[in-house]
Amino acid sequence: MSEQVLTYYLYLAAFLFSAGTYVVLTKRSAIFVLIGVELMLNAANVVLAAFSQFDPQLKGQVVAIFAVVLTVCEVSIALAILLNIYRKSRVSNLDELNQIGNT
Amino acid sequence: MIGAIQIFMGLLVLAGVLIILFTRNIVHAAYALCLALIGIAGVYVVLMAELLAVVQIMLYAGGVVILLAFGVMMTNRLRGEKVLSGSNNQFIGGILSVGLFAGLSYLISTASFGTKPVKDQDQIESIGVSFLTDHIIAFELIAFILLVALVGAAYLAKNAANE
Repeated sequence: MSEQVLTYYLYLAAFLFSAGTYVVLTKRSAIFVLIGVELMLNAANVVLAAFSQFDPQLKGQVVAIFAVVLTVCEVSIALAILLNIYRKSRVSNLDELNQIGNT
Repeated sequence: MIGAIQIFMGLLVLAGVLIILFTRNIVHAAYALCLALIGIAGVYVVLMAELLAVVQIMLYAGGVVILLAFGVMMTNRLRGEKVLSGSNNQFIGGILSVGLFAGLSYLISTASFGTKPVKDQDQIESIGVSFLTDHIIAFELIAFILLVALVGAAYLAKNAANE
């Protein structure tokens, strides 16, 4: 793999990360924000996989698989918490969510 | 030289991400995320990281996207609301993310990485061996964390459903 191909993947990962940042910063719905977080985590995984091509021990891929599993944990817990918030206060819009606890 | 298959996978990811950026419908965004994730799995295949591609399709495209669709269904749809999401701070957010992309691109274009030729090796075997030797504690811990997180999520969601 030449350096040109490596930089192609790095540009792709940079685009994914900045698109995820935009989604997290601007969208109102909590589920949209979760989608943005997914994009940012995937950008990190693309970089790990691209660089681990040059590592005979493939440590980058091992870390990327751990990161994928942790992301699944994060999304399932976040959606369960969102569901609780929605049942309690009927809010799925992050701007309207301005109090926590029993109201 | 960048091959056609690499450009195709990149375009797949690009299309999915652009739909996520410009749609207002959350369900459309979830399916576009599926498209982008499958494109990233294709990128992993091109990078000869087959195990990572399989994990990506099974856990992300199979699990996370379905969880997100359930999330949409259980929150907005129960009251018959439209599954649209507005945006705010578009100007500041756009400036920040474009600036981030420009900064990262500048860093990538100025860096020199000194690549070396890639050996074709049995990746799955060496990843499996390193899971069970070098990273055994992390491997066991990640299994435990996954179990605890899924049981905890089911418990939280069950309490929400009972009320």
